[in-house]
Amino acid sequence: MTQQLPLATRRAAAVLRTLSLLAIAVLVGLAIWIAVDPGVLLAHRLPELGIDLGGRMISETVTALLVIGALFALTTVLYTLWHMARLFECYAQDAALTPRAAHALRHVGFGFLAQAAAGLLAHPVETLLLTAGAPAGQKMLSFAVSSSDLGFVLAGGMMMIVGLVTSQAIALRAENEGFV
Amino acid sequence: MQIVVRLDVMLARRKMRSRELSERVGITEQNISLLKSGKVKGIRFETLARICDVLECQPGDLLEALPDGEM
Repeated sequence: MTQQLPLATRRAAAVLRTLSLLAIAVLVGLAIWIAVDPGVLLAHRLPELGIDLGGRMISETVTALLVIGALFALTTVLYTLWHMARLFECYAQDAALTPRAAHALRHVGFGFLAQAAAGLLAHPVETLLLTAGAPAGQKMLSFAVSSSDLGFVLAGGMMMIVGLVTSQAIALRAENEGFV
Repeated sequence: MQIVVRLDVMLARRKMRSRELSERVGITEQNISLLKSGKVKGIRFETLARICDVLECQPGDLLEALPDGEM
């Protein structure tokens, strides 16, 4: 017995897939921009971290490390978006209960967890790098947990569980299809 | 041990065609064919009961347990 997903669901999935791919294109552009002009990254991160350089220059090594860190964080987002696009493609093609969809769900979950880990690591690493060259007493190491980090952990865990449950559902359906 | 389906034997005894059985039981002729050839993992009690009802037989008339390798 084959049950199709409603047309509205498949259309919504197709739209979301397109949006995911657009987001990937925008983020790739952002990654290139940061790599070409690291000043953009510093202008954004310094006020957010509450660090005042006080006229100090940041070395090229530190800038390069910050860019590498930012690109790593962007990679976790790109990884999540890529698997989201794959998942929406499965739903758009009416292949919700397939190993491919379950695989994509688990990887979206893993991507969210990776984003949470990147968010947690970014704060201490960035503050340490940006204040490493500061005079004694002004060096800083801070650790921050935001509600969005916690949200990513919960969303990631949930998606991984849903992926595992989908795998179970696929196995059950395959077993059920062998019965008359 | 393997379970062999003797549906073709019972159909022949009742002089009934697969199509008629499928219509009266309410499952597809394709599934009847799969059942006859033993290419199914299992049969629901509900389906078995309907087949027995239509063919006026017992489940034991349709299913037979044989040692592995013996057909």
